[in-house]
Amino acid sequence: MKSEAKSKKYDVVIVGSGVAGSLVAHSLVQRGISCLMLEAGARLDRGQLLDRFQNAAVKDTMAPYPSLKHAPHPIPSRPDDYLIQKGPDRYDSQYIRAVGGTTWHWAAAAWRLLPNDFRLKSTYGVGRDWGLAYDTLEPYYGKAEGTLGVSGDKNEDLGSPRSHPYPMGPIPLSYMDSTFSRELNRVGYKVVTEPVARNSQPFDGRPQCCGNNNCMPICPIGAQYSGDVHARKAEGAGTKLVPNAVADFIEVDALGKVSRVRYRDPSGTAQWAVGRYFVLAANGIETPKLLLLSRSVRTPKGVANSSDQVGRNLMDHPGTAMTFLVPKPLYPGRGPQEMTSIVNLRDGAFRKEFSAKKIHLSNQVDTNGITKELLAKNLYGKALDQKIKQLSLRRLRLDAFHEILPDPENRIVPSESLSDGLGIPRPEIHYRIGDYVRKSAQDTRSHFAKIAAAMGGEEAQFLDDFAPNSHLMGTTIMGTIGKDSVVNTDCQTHDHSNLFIASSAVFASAACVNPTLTIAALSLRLADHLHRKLKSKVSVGA
Amino acid sequence: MFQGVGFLTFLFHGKWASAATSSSSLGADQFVELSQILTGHKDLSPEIGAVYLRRFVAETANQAALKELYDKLKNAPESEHGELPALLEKRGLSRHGGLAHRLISGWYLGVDTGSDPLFLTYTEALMYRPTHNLIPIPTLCDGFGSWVSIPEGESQESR
Repeated sequence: MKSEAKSKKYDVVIVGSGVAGSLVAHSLVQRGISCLMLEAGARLDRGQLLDRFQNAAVKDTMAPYPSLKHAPHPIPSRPDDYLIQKGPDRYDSQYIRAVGGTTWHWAAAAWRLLPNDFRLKSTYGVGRDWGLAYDTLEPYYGKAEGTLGVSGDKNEDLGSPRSHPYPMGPIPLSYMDSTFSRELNRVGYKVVTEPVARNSQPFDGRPQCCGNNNCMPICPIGAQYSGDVHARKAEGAGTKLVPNAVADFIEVDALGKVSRVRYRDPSGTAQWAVGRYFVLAANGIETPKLLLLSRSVRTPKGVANSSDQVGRNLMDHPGTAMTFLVPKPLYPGRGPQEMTSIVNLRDGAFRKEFSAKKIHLSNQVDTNGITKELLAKNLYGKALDQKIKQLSLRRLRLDAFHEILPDPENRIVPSESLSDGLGIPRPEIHYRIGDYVRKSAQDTRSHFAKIAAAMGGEEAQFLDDFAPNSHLMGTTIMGTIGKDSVVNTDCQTHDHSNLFIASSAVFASAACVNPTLTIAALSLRLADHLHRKLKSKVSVGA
Repeated sequence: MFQGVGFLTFLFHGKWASAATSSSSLGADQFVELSQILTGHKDLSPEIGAVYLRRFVAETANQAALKELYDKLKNAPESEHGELPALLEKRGLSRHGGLAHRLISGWYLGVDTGSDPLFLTYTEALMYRPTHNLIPIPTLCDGFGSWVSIPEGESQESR
């Protein structure tokens, strides 16, 4: 209580400093709105992350990002240390709890959804509609592209109508990607240059990409956008950013409004953040966990959970892959890690029967994996070197993202028995990949085989592991009816007029493309909405 | 007097001791020489070799085997370097194949793998040598647009 008495009352309290929270904070603070941004993790330094990656004995995708005792996150080399997998399928997605969030580590794919992605139920009779139309979000897609800095090809129609040009032209394709694009377009696929939040020219004080080919886990030079950019900008413009502040309870007053959020420092000491409006931007796992933990007499099922949908409808993009050997060297591994995608399987009447998918060509070389594979075959000396070279220059990999439907049984709940270093319950995941995806994956296999043949490929190997892709969606789902959804089309919770969510957690469909640009667009739209409400001094939802 | 204390301290910490040549264990130079014979690669870093050797020194069981490998391979003609398993079989060393495999793997991967992996090197890992000048090691780069054409380092006959 003493600390609360000392607390300033902010216009907006934001939980989470990733791309969503930081964009909301930056957009508002520039317009004179006072913001407090709580971040569970620590500040990160790019140079230190790079050193940590280069010197790591185990170079998995999270090698630069140690899991903190007070704010743990999933680590691939110790997959059961944090997320509790209840199955039947594993949900080994990753995220980063740190200032800037998970976009420290991404491929910068900056896709817009398709208009039909927002109306899946009404168009194809499966899944759900968002209630929000593409046209409504479209101006904010343009704004997000301008804010993050997206490079794209204005001459390519990606199926999402545009009113704004890309802020930068495309990054030129690699020799491999241009060869792939030419050969696949010839046999009827639509291969496009992936729009990316990566600089094709100096932009916003950050340099042009020089092809470090290390977008994941860390771009060494910051040519690729990451959420820390706007965390720093927001802080520089006056946002109060508190790192190592782990929110663990949301208090609701007698009028049904959120009054304050409790957070703990690494020692466990609690303080309260007080505000007029609250924005949860702590990703699709931590946000519902926080809501469900906030049980009280007034909110017996947790905050914003009168619908019982908080934590449910957990989605990702179940992945399958194929590697194959092309007859001549195409030299993957030069330039950024992703450059082209096949997009003609993103939409169509088939979505009534099985899921949409995006297939992309990886521009990475798994030198470590190739070498281990060959050593395991007892190759040494010149034979080993020749084979490493052959496979490195000629082995290609395709990955497919499949759209999973929202299913209330797929969910995250706080564990009843296992907790983290601060005593906060760990996330428990219940996840099943249904026939809608599995049927599509069979179809994907046939496309993989066709693609390999078009490239003259051999030695095709399929990986049907349905690996998740760290796209945490659906757990505070959007909808127009409060009975079966958590937020409305303004990302405002149905239950609490001053509580909003900025996250892919609000997605009502997963579509089959990377979610970050949509997160950014929704966040910028939410910021405008909050600004209007605050400036008009009219209580939201009143 | 001062020198003597320093000498004893050095021995106590095991650094010089681990790198010193004795009749029953390898010195750092010999370890690198053995590594070159087993991998078939010249120009291995003495600094990395010293770190890697300390790992083996900590495992006393491997001392005699390493010494035997060195003693019986040191005069192997260069044309046989890296040519396992023949290199070992010809000299009756097949029983040390597992140790040789591990040593080679460490130099290639830049990590001595296992339950307690030891980082040795990133950019000097031998696995990157076959594609030197063709594919940059991740985190390094050749400049914007360098990826558009066939790499300059590629020879005509490979195209």
